[in-house]
Amino acid sequence: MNQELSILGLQGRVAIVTGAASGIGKSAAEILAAAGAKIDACDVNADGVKATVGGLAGSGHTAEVIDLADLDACDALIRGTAKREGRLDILLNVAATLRRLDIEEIDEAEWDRLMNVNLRSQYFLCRAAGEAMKPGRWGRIVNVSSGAGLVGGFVGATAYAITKAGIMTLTKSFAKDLGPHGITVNTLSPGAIDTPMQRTGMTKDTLEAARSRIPLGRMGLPAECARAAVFLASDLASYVTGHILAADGGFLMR
Amino acid sequence: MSELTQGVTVSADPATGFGLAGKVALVTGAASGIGRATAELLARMGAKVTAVDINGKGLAGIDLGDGGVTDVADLSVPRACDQVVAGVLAHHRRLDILVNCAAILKRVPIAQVDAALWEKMMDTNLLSQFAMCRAAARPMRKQGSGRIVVISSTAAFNGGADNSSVYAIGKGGSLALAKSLARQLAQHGITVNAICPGGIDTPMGRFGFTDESWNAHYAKNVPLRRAGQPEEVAKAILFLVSDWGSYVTGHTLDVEGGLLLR
Repeated sequence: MNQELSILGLQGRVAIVTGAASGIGKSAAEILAAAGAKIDACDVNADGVKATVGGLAGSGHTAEVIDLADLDACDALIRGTAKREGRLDILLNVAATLRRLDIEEIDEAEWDRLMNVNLRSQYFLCRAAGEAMKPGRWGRIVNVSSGAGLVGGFVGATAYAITKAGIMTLTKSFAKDLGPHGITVNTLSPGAIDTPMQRTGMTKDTLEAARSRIPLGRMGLPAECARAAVFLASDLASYVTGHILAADGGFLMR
Repeated sequence: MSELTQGVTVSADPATGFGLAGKVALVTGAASGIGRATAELLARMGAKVTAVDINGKGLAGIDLGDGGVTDVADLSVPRACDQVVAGVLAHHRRLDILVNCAAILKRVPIAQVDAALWEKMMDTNLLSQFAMCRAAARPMRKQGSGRIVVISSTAAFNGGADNSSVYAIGKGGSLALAKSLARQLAQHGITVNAICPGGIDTPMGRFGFTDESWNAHYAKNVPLRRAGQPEEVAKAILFLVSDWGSYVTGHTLDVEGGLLLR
């Protein structure tokens, strides 16, 4: 282990990471593991999440295949990890789904799916995780939102943007509720990060247009965004809660 | 790396550390509170730190390791800011990190604020940040890299405690300063961010409180049910000025225990 990372205080911490098969979730699982945490990696993509766990530093990590639209599965995930490990310290809610559709194309089924996977799952995961963390008087929850939640989203991401705004609000509510128990709850608001989801439904031209609007002049690596998430999950952020941390190359300036 | 991330300077390796070893850092307001905790933490992480304050006595005993030095200066005078940066450049030939913590707080009712008080507080809290950033931007631009943090305050959002209007206004200015410089310096690989500390247990933070009223206030009004320690703000600054903060710029990071929830 890189000894510098010991300042994060993550050795022996038990962490659940959703959306761990690719992109920011995968990278966050790798960084947490590199800092000594024990990872329960979840995704609906079975092969992807197994591959992620196979590549993690250290041992004792678990891969879970889960569809977050299923509330019972969300509850079982938290309870299962807490029971198996005897504790839960960190929850990173990274999983999300995005299909780029015009407003007219979003029917009730699509709306429900987006709300259930992106927003409802986070609410019930946070609630269950809070209960699992309270006995230890220490906990870190990081909910990944998006700059889309503040500025309305780009290229067919209207309903997606609404779920991401909801995440910011739920984070503040849980920050108030869980703060007295020593649990921090924060939002990470990524800008344009070069992930499979970012490229979904985009052309070379629309991607280039998105890139050119970023003050730093480039999209972010998943690892850069994941480090911001791990910062919030670490001892470095012990007095940060209810915050919306933007890792966006200066896009929002907020 | 792809065509979309071209120009990235940090590694994607999950074991990547903070990258502060050998970096040259300048921390103002380093005699006490957040500035002191920050100077000591950056030094502990391997940076060569120049710790500046107007209070030379207060700098005594600061632990900067082997590569650190202290400098006494009144940063409310822009020429002094230029001299401090020139001193660092003469010694190290570069400047990687600037953290602006120096500030004063005088609590005066609005009716009693005169031009002299306004000037004194604005020069010390806001003009000094601008002058330091301006002086630091020159070598950072040449290097094509740099990290700047300015300390603002929750007062910038909520107006501050009683009788601290001029302080709050200056701290609001710090936010605009950080964003404006972030926009202009991004193309040179320089990030600029602001930190909004809430109630932090420093001499300035406790100003006007008794021990009892201080503890009771934060136990009641903050989700985390306590005030913060200067070391906790220093750790957030470490994130921003290190390789870990490479994609964060123009941001205002609240370190306030959930006081604002903005």
